[in-house]
Amino acid sequence: MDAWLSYGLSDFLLFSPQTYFRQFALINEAMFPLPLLLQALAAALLLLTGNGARWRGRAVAIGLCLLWASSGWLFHWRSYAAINWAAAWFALGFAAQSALLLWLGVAADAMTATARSTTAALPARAAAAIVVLVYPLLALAFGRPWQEAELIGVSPDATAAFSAATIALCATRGRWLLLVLPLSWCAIALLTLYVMRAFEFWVVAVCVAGVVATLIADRRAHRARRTVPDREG
Amino acid sequence: MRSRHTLSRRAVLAGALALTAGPTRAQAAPPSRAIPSSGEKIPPVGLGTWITFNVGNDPAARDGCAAVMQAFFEAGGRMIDSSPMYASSQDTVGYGLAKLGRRDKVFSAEKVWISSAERGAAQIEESRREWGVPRFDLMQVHNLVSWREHLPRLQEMKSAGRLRYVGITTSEGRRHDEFERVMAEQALDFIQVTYNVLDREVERRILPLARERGIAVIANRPFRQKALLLALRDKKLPDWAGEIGAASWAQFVLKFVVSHPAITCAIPATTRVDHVRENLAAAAGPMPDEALRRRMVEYVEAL
Repeated sequence: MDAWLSYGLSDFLLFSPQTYFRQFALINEAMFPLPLLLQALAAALLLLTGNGARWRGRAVAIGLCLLWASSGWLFHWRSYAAINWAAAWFALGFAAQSALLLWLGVAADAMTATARSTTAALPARAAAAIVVLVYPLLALAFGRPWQEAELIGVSPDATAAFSAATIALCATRGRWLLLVLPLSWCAIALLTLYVMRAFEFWVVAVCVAGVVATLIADRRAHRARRTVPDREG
Repeated sequence: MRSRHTLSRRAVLAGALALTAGPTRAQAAPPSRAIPSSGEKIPPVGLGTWITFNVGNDPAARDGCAAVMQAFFEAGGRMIDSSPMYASSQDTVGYGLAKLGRRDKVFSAEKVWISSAERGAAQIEESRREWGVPRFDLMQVHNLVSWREHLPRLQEMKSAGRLRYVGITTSEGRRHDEFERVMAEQALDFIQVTYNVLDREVERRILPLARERGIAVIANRPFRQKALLLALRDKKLPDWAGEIGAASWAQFVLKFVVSHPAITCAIPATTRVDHVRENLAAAAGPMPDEALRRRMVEYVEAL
């Protein structure tokens, strides 16, 4: 046990940042145009989360389910597992989240496309928009090849941050259960990006902050509704 | 690590001799050090694979690593060190050895890194398949993980001719007290520790004990995983670096490591062909004596 306790955070970064970001280029090239279609799916989900019919909640759940399954398979299983021996377990976790979304979001109908409060929804909606619109551009912005663009449905960090924001917006029941794995992955992503000194750290951190802000605001609004006396009662 | 050199004109001239082989010509084999337990000689600069060789399934990066290995062998290098902890590094080494046809030339240094004693043999066999070698030259217990269980097995394998040498490793000063006890109590051919111009704790007890016990020493992290070179890159290399043929900070730092009388081999890691040539060249030419070594420490610590 002492041997394991003697390791530090940086000891578990087994690869260089160049090798890590190169994985996205390899996937994007090998699987084209699938990564673009997945990113388009995420953009469509963002539009669906406004307000609308009940089917939209189920559609969002199915969409997120597909994004987690594809990221687990394309990134963790096919690519990341070669440079990180823990990635096979991560792939399993992504498959579990995919199944959970199908179960809670579709079978149990726990997602709605209508946010409870527009003000409360704003930070999470902004976070989701940042992941859709900004995250893919970061590679190019920081001097890396555009082929290394991190797209939702491939990049686990983008997928988890986008999903956490979408779940915060849409889940009516089992929200915390649905958020466990996305937020856990965001924590792993933050540690990895911090050790790699990657700017993406700040983007993921801002997105997580947006999700937390919506959860807190939503909870306060919910409590306020419960404590206001019913004037007609 | 683009700017690895900060050279004075005098240092360039003095160090040029060590680099005259040019970028494409094979270099003369560097001077060798004897492994105390056998007398076998190996070059004092090897090749580490931590992070640098973990490139996954990227064909271009794998070929880049093979090019580094080719330059390493052409410059007379022999020891390549890896570990199951390093993910695809073992596979990359195996790819390079197969591509270059150098399986018979390499001094293969591997590690066993698993808590379960029962699964140790399977891990070693898997590592051997990754490398594609008939047997490992050196098998080390990585960071003392389950050393009580693994060492007897490694000694058995050595007796049966399935290994040539047995060792233990640590890095960055981990568990030195226990490390010393294992050195004192077990029959070891090699130890591997962190040693460089700033991390010198092993000079006090571990290196003297290695000499006393006749144990070869591999120095890991000679550049502090390039952080040391990054910190030094904008500093002026002293004029007197030319006295030991150090034309760059990398050579300056490596010469400090391999000039310690207890050190058998340093294992810097790199992804660049020019850097591996530069590293191997550091093993040639004059080495600092004890007085100059102290001066090197004082100079770097003052920067």
